[in-house]
Amino acid sequence: MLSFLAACMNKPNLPADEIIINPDEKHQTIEGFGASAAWWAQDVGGWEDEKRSRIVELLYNRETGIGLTIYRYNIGGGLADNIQDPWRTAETFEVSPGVYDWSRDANAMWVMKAAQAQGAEMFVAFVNSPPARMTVSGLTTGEKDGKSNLKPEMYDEFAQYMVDVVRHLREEEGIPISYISPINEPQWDWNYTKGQEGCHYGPQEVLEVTRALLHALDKNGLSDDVQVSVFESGEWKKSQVYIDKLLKDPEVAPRLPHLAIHSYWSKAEDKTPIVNFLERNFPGTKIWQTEWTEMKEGRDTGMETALTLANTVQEDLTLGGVTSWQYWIAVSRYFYRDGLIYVNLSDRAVIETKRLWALGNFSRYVRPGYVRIGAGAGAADITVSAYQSPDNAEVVVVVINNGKKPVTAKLNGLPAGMTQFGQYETSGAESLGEVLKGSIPPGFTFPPESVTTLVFSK
Amino acid sequence: MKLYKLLIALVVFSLLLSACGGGGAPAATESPKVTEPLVMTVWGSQLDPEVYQARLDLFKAKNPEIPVELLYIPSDYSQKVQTMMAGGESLCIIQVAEDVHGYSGKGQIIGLNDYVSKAGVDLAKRYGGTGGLVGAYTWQGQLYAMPDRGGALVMYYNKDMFDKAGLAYPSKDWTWKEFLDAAEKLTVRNGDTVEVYGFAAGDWWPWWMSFIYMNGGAILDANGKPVANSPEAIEAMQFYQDLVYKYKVAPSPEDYANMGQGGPDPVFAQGKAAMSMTGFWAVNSLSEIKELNWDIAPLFGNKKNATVLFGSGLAIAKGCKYPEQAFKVIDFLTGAEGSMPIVTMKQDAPANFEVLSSDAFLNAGWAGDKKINLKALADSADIAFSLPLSPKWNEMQTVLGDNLAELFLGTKDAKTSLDITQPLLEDLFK
Repeated sequence: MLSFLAACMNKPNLPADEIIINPDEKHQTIEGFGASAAWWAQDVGGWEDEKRSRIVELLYNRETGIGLTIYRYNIGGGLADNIQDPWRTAETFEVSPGVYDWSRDANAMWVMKAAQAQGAEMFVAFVNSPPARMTVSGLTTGEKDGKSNLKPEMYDEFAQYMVDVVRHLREEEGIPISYISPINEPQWDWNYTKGQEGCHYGPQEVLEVTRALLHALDKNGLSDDVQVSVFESGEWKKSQVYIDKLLKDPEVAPRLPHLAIHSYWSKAEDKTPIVNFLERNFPGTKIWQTEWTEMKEGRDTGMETALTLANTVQEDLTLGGVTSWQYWIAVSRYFYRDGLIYVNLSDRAVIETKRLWALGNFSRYVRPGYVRIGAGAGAADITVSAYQSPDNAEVVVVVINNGKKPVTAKLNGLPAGMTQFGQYETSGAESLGEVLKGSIPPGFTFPPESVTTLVFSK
Repeated sequence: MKLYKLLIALVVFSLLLSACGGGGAPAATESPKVTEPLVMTVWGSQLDPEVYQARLDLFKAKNPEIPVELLYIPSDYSQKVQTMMAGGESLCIIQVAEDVHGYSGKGQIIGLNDYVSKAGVDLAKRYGGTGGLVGAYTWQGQLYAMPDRGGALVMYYNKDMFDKAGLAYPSKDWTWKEFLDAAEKLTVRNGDTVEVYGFAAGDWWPWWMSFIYMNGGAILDANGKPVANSPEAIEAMQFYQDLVYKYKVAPSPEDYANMGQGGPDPVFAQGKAAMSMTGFWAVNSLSEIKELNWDIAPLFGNKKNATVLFGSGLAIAKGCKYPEQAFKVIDFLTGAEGSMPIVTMKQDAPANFEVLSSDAFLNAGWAGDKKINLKALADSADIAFSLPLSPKWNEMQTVLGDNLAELFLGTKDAKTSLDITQPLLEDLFK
């Protein structure tokens, strides 16, 4: 019920021309925004410097891009013959048990280092499937009936493999990986017919993979630096059975920094029960949203999908209370509503989308360490969320106008002493453009179908 | 809410509706002559609009002066219909389901009582048994949609497993005692592992809600007041939970999660469960599994028999300029002639009881070569309880789904879960 009420707070009984923020109402501390490098980095990382650098800049540069801080590196399960699309299968470093060829996956490595240079500061290494040799089916796409594909005797070896890779990345490549995610969407029936890497696990199997990984981190002296991010639930709905199993375990539960959940297919009425379930049974559990893209055919570079993205981010942050929000594949070559950037393989064109810039309305301004504060808007078409910097010197307000008409509103509740102001807009006309700067105006205008960030500082 | 408060609320509500100029009890006045097609919205997959069109063609042959234009909305149906209504688009006939009172509560569809009586429709005859979905589609005395398609939740059972165990097939005469006895005998164990479950169900509302009604319980009482933690409901939900965690004759959420493709329907289809309750739609898919020898039976009861009716109905949008003609359309479509293509084109079970009981339905070959007891659907008509639909149906589902999670996980008992849920439902219906 708490979150239900919180959701209602976004539509308080306010006049349509008023937005209110409440710095005394403190919610979660934001850990950052990010995106996955799965499958594109291994190709695009080998492109001409101008193009690959531009892509990384758009994603990770805080001045000229959207300033993401989290990079999700995919530890591949090994190139697979049964996956037709080369952008759906990834190299593994492993040559044979305990033997690695660290020259592999060089393109992806280039992208990761370039992202680090541009501003990525938190790195998550995630796995979709164990390497083929550790699986029941001998394939990285899953077991024939969609059951767990990790051989029962391979849990410790799989854990050691992930730790070996991460230790190499940290110690030899200088990438400070701080999270390993060993499991991805375990509830789906990953099987032979799937066109990408995946592995089903039941709740007990998720728990035991997590436990094995924690033990491997302990054994290798990495526990202080690397944590386990699980369980990358494929959706919010019906994830209670996995959550209950993980968070009831006396050894594993205290060592989990958060629950990683994907927002695919998930509506508000799917998220609320999970938030409430955690509140009732495991209060204080943090949630990361670690994968989302709109699941629809067709390319769209405009505001329609940008609004869908912005509303999903806003809902996850407010209703879901997530402390981090991470996008699925940052770069897409497909005719699908995924990717923050599209590329064409034929001419290696790099195509920006409004989705990129709408995510930037959050990521460039709502920085790690910022605390979400209370916010509400009176106008029916407006949703709002607000954040305050740890030193209280800056307040960031993100306003989405879903309507087809401009909305003008004043803002109440700003802490005293704020004198400087900037307004950054993503709309049909603007791509995170600075539309106002200077002293704080008496009112603000939000164009139709736009995402706007208001930044106030002392 | 005290009774007098309820009465006052009802009076105020009906006044409000009449002030809004519709919704409650419209005078079935003469509609103007039709000068433009009546727009009818439907959802579904590819076959569905074809069947609706075939039915409309039958209507057109007899009523050429009332043209109807079918608007097929394959995705985001409710959202799109709501948007069209809000945008002032003139819709006339809209397909509705459990969300019917989401529309009626907002005054977006009109009450049909006057039209029904003026046309002399005998609802009891048309829908048989307990009146099918008429009760569910009625809110505060007004019928808001004519039931059109649907079938009951029935018991699918594996005949080979029953035969092997020497058990009589499921029947309407069963009580929970016979049901549990069969489920236990049908469960095949290998040490701690269950190889075949006697029964398979889960957290989907028709499954557990049926058990509450079988025990004489309800979610809302006759006055629309939540009664989710009545002794009857608690006893029923405890029995339902015990099937999984005490008697271990049905899979838990974790058991399903371990299976890869988990859920009662696939588990039954894979021959890993002897009994499973679902709707008419499974007949077709199960008939494709050659090695599975199965049939269907009406549900049973404990204190009384009960089953859920699924389906959809046809309502008239408030903005329709020709409500009288629109009713003529839906009266025809839900009549025997207008319903028949639902059967002949193998779309669904019709709500029309006459057609549901007809040889045309029983012999339509729904299960291919298999001989299935399709009479189980008509035989369910007199045990169907009136679904607790209301303008708060969706919110109610969210509260129930949210707060019964621990019950299904086996971490809280039925009384604890329902005692938590009841006040939240009361808040919702305040």
